[in-house]
Amino acid sequence: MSENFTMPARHKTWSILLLIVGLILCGVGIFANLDSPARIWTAWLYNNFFFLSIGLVATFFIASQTLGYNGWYVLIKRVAEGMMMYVPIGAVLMIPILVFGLHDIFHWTHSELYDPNDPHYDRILDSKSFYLNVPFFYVRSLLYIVLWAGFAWLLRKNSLLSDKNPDIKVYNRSKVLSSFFVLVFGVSSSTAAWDWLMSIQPHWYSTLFGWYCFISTFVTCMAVIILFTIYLKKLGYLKQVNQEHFHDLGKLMFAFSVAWAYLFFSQFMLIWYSNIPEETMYYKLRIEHYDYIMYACVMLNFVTPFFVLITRGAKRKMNVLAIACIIIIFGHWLDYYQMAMPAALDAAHLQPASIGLLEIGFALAYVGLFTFIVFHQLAKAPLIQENHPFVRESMVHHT
Amino acid sequence: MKHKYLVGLFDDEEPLLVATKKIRKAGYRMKEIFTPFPVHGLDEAMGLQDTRLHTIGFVIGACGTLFAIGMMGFITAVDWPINVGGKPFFAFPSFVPITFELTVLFASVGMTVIFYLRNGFSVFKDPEIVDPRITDDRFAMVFCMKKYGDRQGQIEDLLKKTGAVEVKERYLEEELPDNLFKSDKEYFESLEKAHH
Repeated sequence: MSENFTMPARHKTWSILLLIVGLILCGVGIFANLDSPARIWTAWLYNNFFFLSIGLVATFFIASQTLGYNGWYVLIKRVAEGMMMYVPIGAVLMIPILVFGLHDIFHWTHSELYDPNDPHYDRILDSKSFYLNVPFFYVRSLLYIVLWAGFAWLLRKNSLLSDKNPDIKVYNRSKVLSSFFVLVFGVSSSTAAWDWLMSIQPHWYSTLFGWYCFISTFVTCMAVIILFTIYLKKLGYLKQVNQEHFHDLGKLMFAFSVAWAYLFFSQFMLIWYSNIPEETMYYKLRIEHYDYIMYACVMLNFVTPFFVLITRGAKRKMNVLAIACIIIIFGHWLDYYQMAMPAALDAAHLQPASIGLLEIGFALAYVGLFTFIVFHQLAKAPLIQENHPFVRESMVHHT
Repeated sequence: MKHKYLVGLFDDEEPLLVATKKIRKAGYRMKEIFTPFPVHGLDEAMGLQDTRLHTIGFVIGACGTLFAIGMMGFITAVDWPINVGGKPFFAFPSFVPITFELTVLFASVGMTVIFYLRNGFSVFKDPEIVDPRITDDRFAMVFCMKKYGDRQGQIEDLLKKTGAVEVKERYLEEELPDNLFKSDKEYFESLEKAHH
């Protein structure tokens, strides 16, 4: 039963090549945009947050499945764990962005906005300053980084321990860890989305923004898990993973794609209908200059997965799933772009931009880094967790 | 005219699944299996075709979508246009919630009605049950004696051998509706595939 994975040399070369190509494209992009640092920092921020969230949601996936006494996912648990181990790295990469890019990304950090004698004085921001102030912002960011990285590390350590130790205590400890993590995640996933994305446009707020970001990355996380599992299967590993597991993952991906559309539309319709200036400015900015990206998001994240994945057969065929996954990942990456970039450029009085070398470069670099880390982590331990009490249930799983 | 059926009662789902496959392999097709709760993998073991209910659900749901958009578009943009807050008469975003609700309503009610019709259920009459314990703790496998009347003894033996706790004859006023089976070739291929 014990199955060990070794990273194929081909894959190692590819992921490092991707990282290097990404960094080169990025470098070109940075040189082309040296006069607009806001764009550079925001491109880095949203890419980093996007990939960090995928890892974070993988942690949440493991924690929620553990708490739900679920057995079906045990065979693919190590894949999710590999993604989880990206969290410490992604979280640490957040530090340089928030330290050096703070003033370029976040308009609300400028001190003249809070001086009543200054012509730039902003009464609305002043009233929000009990929450949106730089010291508290740093404290919160540090808390997220430490807590997320810490829990990812602890859960992983516990899981590795169970390979050697058949004691049920190890499993029970994973439950305790998971429950604490879910508590932390429930609050911090929302507040991190407010802090790192929503506060780019500080006058505007939406109460469901945190869930919107969470669901966006949950869909992406499912897509990434499916892609890695398919890749491993094509290499000849994970033989016991069958179409039933893919069906379940596909169902989650389908359901949360619809949930994404639900939240997207809920946010849009209330603002569109009530027509209040400080709310509509979010969509005004996007519909004026970035309408094609917004509509592309709806097409890629809702319409396409809805019609592609609606049949039972599609969720059970690896090739169809893989195509849907790639579309979904790209769509949600665009969605993150659309959440971050327009407001940052607008606040810095820059021309509306589009997807350029800079964004593509960052994305490629992160894809390279992410896949490298996942495969590196997969190679470290048996592909299927030993001594997990539900392993057998996952092997005989059927719908 | 009464219809004769042979009923084999099982007391658990695992023996039922094993017996179903064995009996299918021996060349018999059961008319129906009644269980107190949904048994995972029973459709595959019986060799039933995939249900067409979800296709019907999709079609009826799509009808609901078109009906809702058509209705609201006609009312607010054609028949009696009213300016609401300066929004366009055909204000699509404000139609979406109701469109969604009507889609769900059409799909769920339509699927329920079709399911009832197809299975011969009705709210106006009590169904005939092959054995009252199928609503409690027994799993009943039913064979049509019009089809297998000459081989009743063989089926009884087979049922007992595969673990049925009780085998009996039962006469029903109405015929049980047909199930759609896969072809034998397809069924054995799917069993082979599941085995490996």
